[in-house]
Amino acid sequence: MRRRDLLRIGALTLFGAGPFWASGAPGGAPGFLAHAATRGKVLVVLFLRGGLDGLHCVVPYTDAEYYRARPKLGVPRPGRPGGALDLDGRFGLHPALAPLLPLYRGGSLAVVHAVGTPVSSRSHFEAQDFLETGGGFTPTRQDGWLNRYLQRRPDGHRLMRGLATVNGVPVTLRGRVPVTSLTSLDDIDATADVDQGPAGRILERAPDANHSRLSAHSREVSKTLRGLKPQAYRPSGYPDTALAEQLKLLAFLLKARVGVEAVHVEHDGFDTHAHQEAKEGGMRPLMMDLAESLRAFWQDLGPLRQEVVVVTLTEFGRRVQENGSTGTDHGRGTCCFLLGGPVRGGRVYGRWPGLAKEKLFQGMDLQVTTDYRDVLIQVAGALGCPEPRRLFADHAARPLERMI
Amino acid sequence: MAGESCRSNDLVRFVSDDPPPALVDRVAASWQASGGDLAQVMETLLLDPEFYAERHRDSKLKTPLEFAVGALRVLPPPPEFLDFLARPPVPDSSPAARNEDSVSPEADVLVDVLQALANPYAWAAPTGWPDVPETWSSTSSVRGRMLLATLVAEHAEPLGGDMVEEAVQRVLLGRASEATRSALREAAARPGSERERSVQVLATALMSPEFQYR
Repeated sequence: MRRRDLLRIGALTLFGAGPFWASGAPGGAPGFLAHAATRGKVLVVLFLRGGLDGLHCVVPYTDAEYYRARPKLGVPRPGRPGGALDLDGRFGLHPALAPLLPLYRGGSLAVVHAVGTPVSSRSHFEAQDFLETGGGFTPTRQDGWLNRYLQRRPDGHRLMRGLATVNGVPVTLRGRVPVTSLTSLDDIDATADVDQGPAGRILERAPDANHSRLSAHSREVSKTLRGLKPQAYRPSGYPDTALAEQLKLLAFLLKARVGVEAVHVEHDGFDTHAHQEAKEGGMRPLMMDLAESLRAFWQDLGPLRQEVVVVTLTEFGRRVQENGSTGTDHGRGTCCFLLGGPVRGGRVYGRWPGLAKEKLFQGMDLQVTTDYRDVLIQVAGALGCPEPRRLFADHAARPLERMI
Repeated sequence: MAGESCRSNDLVRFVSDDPPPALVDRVAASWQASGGDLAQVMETLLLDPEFYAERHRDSKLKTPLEFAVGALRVLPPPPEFLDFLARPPVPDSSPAARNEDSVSPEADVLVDVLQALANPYAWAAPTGWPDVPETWSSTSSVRGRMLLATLVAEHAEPLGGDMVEEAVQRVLLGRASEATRSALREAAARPGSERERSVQVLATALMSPEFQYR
C-alpha cells in the first residue's frame, strides 16, 4: 500500500461533493455544521524563537541613542534610502516588514513595545520555559499557559481544540487538553486513513490511560481530516517557506471548522549574533518571511479575520549596543505584534523607557515596561476566556490600555 | 535536591515515569553517601527489589527515537534506505530544501516521517527528548507512530505462512498477550492481497503495547 493509494482512499470518503471551501461561506461544509454552532474566537501564538531584536523590527528612530548604539545596524530614519517605514512619528517598521504596513494602517495590526518577561536570565532555555509556562514551573512537570487557556474555556466536545503546527507538543500547549500537531497540508495527506484498522486500535488498550485516550482521539482526528481534501487547497500569495506552510494549514483548518481554538505556530532563527542584515542567513529574510506569510494568511482568512487574533512572542529582545560581528547579543525588552479583527490596530502601545544608558536594564538592555502576560490576559479575556488573570497564578496582573 | 535530580534522571529513565518515593529516597541517600559516585548509585538502583517489580515492566512508553530505532532493527528496510537515513539531517526543513536531496519518493516519505517523529536533533532545548511522554506525546504523535509502523512494515521482508506466529516471533520476540494475538489475527484476516495483509499484521505488531512500551 503506497501513500498515494492512501490518498485516493481518503479522497473518496465522507464527502462526495466538492471540497468544503468551494461551497462559499465559511462553515458551509456539510460535515461541520455541528461545529458551526460552537464556533468561537481563535488565539494564535506565533513564537519567534531565538530572541527577536525588537529594536530592529520596530525602530525607535527619534531616539538618538539608537543610532549611537547601532552605527552599522541602525535602520535609517524614514525617508532616507533603506529607511524605516513610519508608524506613528516615533517608531518605524524595518523595510523588510513592508507587507505588514497595510495591515497596520488598515487597523488590524498593533505593536506593543518594550514588552517581555520578568526573567532576567539571558539563557534561551530558561527564558523560553518561562515564556511558555507563564512562570511557576518545575524542571520535570510543566504545563503550558495556552493549554491552561483551553482548560478554562468551555469544552463543547470539539475535536481539535489545541493545534501545534510544529512536531511534538510545544511547552506552551502542554497539559490536560489533548493537542494535535500537524506541520503542513501534506501531513493531512500522509496520515489519512492509516490508523483505521486493528493497528490503529490496538493502543486503545495501552497500559496507561492517557495514551489510550490519545490513541482514540488520534483516530477521530484522522477520520475527520481525511474528508477534507487538502490536496486541492491552493490559496495564492504565500511564500515557499516553512512558516507559510504552517499558516496555510491553519487557514485551511479554520475554514474547515474542526474546532480549533488555540494554536502554536513557530518561526525559528532569530538568534542573530552575527551578520544580522545579511541577505542570506540573516534576520532580513526571516522578517520578509514573517511579513509575507502573515499578509498571505490574512488575505486567505477572508471573513474569518473577525474571529482570529495572532500574538507574536519571543523569549527576549537583544542588547541595544550592536556587537563586533554586526549582530546583537541576548537582551531583554522587545516588541510584540498583535494582528486580528478585534485588535485596535494602527498604534504602537506600551511605555517607551528610552535608550539612554541610565535608562537601560543593567546598563545594556531595553527595559521591560510591559509584562507579556498582561498583554495575554487582555487578549484571552477579549476572546472569551473566563477570569483570564488566573492563567498566570504567580503573576500580579496589571491592567493595560485597551488594545483589543 | 539529590532526590529531585534522581527523580528526573536515573529513575525516570530506568524505572518509571512516576518512581516510588521510597526508591527515590534510597537512591538519593546512596548518591549523598557516595559523594555522587554514579557507579555506586547505579548499583543501589540495580540491586533494589523495587527495580524488578512487575508493575514497572512495560510501564514506560518508548521515546520516538527508541520506537523508530527498535522498529528499524526488528524489521530492517533494504540497505539503500539505511544509507540514506545515516546522512545528517537537513537543517532547513522547507519543502524546497527537502526536494533537493532525494533518493526515491518512498525513501523520502520514510525520511520525512522519521525526521518529524524521531529526529534526535529536533528537540528545541539542548537537553534532548525528555524521558517523560507528556512532553512529546500528542494526538499526532500517535498518528506519526502509526504512519512509521506502516512504512516500516511496507519495506520489510513480507510475512509468509502463519502470519500471526511469525510476526510474534520477528517483532515481539515471542512475547504477546492474548489480546495482541487477537488483534494480529484480525489484521491477518482483513481483505487484500497477501502482501497487504502482511503489512497490516506487521504494523499491528509494531503498534502493540508489547512493542510500544518497555
